[in-house]
Amino acid sequence: MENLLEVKGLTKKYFSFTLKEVSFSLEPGYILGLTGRNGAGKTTLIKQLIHPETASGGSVIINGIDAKADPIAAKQEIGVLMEEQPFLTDVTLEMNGILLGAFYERFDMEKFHEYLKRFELSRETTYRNLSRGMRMKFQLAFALAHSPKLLLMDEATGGLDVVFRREFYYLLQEAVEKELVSVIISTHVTEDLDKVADYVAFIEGGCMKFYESKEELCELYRDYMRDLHGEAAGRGTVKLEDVIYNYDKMTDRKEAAKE
Amino acid sequence: MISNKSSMAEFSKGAKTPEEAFDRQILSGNYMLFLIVGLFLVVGIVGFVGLMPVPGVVAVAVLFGCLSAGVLAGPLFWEVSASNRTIRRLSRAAYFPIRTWPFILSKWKLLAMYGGVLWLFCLVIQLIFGVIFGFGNILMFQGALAAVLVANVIFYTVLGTLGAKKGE
Repeated sequence: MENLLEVKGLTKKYFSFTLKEVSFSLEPGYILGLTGRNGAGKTTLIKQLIHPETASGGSVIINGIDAKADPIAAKQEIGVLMEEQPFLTDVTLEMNGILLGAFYERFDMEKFHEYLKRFELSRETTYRNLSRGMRMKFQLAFALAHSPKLLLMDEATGGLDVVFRREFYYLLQEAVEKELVSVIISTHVTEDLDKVADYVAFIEGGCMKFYESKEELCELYRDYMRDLHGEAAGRGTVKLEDVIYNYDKMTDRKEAAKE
Repeated sequence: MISNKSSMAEFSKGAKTPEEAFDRQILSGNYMLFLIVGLFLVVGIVGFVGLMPVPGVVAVAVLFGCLSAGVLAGPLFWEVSASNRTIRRLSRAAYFPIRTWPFILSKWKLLAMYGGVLWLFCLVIQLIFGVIFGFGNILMFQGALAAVLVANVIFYTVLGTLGAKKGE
């Protein structure tokens, strides 16, 4: 299958931080979990995917569009869910859809209404009156209404309760399957990625330390546990938190075994 | 592109286009800062009235301090906050598939309007105090205010435009 997103050598230099030559690709309909410590470069990477024209180097191809050369066309393919949102706080959700949806060529008002209903959001409520969780649902409804090929979520569910997060990710997964949209979720809550991610990338100090399928990572962890504690230790559910914490030891051991 | 013209027309109280909606959004909330300016003025006036009976140079200096808080700091605070909010809001347009640079530049009238309203506001207040205290001192304030105001507008416009360009 052709990749929906291709990132090659993406670099962004700041005075005190550099995102260093990040490269990866993502197929349509898959969810990539982007994790790492605070300040590792997750938000920088997400912002560079939204605004690659400002990058210091590298390329971003979204659905066949060179996002550096044509950022306007590329943004038509992107839905964004993040804390710093650009919606109009003093008007209703309906008017947000009408006024801001006009920026998107494929914005479908009926679809927007369907998602508002599905997410139990009233069209007549003003954006200001929504709770943080409801704002995230609204952002998801707005994003899905313009049929993006790629959804970018930056700490979208951070600080929200477990019940809401579970419901939100259920809605997201449902939408991903229905719309065949690819998603990049930047979060340091690895429990969320346990549930929904197909691939996991770990960023450290501006570099992508690893980018692998969740299944491969879990298998690597199981092998590691088997080597350490016997066959029984390699069974059961694997938590990404354990995988990330032990990644260096796991890979070192694997390399040593090869030698 | 959506073509729900009737729904747009229903929004008769304000915006009928996304750009107008942005303008409304940019302006909304800033009027609250007038209250803060008012608070500064109240402090100045209360200080003035309260310290009136106290004789001597120190009292005059304190009075002057209170008045500068009311006349100078209040509007400046408003200007800094309003500029900051405005530019921050404009910068967020970068998330939509529009050309941010021309979009922000197209708002120069809006920004100029802010400057104009603020200027008139300050001028009226300072004229009142000028009548009471003499225009020499007030002109000094006016000069300082003008310098800071211009620097502030340039600073925030450049910063905001760069910020928007970088998508920060």
